[in-house]
Amino acid sequence: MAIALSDALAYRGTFLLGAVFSLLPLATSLLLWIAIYRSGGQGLTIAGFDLNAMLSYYLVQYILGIVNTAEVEWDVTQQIRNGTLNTYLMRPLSYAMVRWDMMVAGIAVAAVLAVAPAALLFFAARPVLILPAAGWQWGAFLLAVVLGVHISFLMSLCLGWSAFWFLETSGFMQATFPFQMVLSGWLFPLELLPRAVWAVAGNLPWTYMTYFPLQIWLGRLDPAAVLRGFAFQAFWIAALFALAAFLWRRGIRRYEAVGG
Amino acid sequence: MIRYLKLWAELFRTCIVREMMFRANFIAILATSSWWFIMNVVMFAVIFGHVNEIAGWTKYEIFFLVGCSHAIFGIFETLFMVNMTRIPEMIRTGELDFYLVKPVSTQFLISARYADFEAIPNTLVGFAFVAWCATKLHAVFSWTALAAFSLYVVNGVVLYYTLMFLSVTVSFWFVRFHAMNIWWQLTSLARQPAEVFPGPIRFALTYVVPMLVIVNFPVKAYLGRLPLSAGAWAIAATLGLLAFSQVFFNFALRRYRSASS
Repeated sequence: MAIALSDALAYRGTFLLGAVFSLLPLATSLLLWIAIYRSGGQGLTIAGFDLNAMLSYYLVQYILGIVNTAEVEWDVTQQIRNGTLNTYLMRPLSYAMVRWDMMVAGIAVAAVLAVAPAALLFFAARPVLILPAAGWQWGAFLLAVVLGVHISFLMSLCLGWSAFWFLETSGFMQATFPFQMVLSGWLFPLELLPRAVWAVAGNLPWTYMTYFPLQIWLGRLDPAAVLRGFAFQAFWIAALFALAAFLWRRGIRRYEAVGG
Repeated sequence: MIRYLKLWAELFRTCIVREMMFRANFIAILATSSWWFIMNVVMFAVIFGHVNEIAGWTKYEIFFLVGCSHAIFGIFETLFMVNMTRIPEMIRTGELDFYLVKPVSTQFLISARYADFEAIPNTLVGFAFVAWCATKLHAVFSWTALAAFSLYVVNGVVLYYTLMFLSVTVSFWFVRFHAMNIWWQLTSLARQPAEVFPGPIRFALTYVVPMLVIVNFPVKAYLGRLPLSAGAWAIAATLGLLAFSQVFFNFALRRYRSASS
């Protein structure tokens, strides 16, 4: 755990630079939405979002994006392809546990580093920023974030382990990337999707990574809907965990330990 | 000049051969590469259910812009993107030696060595969409408009290449700096309608770091909304920056010490 922590800390320069530059797309989407709502006149709502809700959506999502560093698929694929996975296999800890440790450490570091920028950003945006009104919403939001991170983690572990079957997976992962971005609500709030598409997409695991927590934050869900969301999160964690365990058992038998 | 075009065509051919060795991977990407673009169109389609214009742009004008940016970035990705990601590695590992000894311009060779065919469908889809939007714009088709559009598409690609190459050249000083990390962020700036930005920022993004010239200008040229002075500035800026990138690269090369092998 301590090693994982220091590993994550070693990249704090990259982290800060990335945070600064990632402000550009945030700023452009905020400006775009401001222009859109200005063109629509006073009191415009799109899929139930007024201007402040829309801006808050992107602001909070941005902070969640910095904190959620659970993408492990590239690393995992690399280790399978070049055989460095061997060193992990010889240790008395399960590979998934090591990965989980690293993920938690990475997120802990990112969360600490994100406090200052988040405070600054939220302070600058306080005229428009919507905060959760009720105490239970804060708690529910945090829990939903933690569960959402685990969905991302398990999903990317499954993607990474597909490398046991296809050594060349970069194309495959690149292809899934835009799908994942859109389905997790990164491009625009998912409720803007045509109703029939949202009816399906709203049940997929990606919705429960960051979109569900954001809905809680913005106060768009009543307690019953929040509980239903938690049930979905639990379901997807269980399903992805089962899938990951299955892929690992099958995959490790095929593993050739190239160049080990 | 002709010699360089021939060389480029040959490099292109070898890349197709290489790519076809991983056929399944190749096809997977062809199938999904326009997803991002489609979702952008979906987003604006939903928005235009609620508003009639965005910062002075009507629905099909915005669609035209979205298609145009898809096409332009598609061309850039096809011709230059892979190379831009490789240059910092070449410098770090000393692989650049291999290119320095070739009897052609090093900047040309490292910029054009690898082509990426995954982005060709993006380009085609983008232009097809632009053509469809053009029929919806109620503007009478004219060859002059099309010629102006084509000129600024080429200008946009060259300008974008130049800006990326300039940032990549900085890797000579900071070997760990990966200019491609900021690629996505810059792209997201360039693809917006210029009028979304407040005056001073728009001015800076047109005349200081001319990101808004890349996609907005071809569209405005087609719509007949590009003032002659701005149009002339755009071409001059591209040529000037291209020349400067050559000078800057040669200057940076003096810092290159190869790798301690």
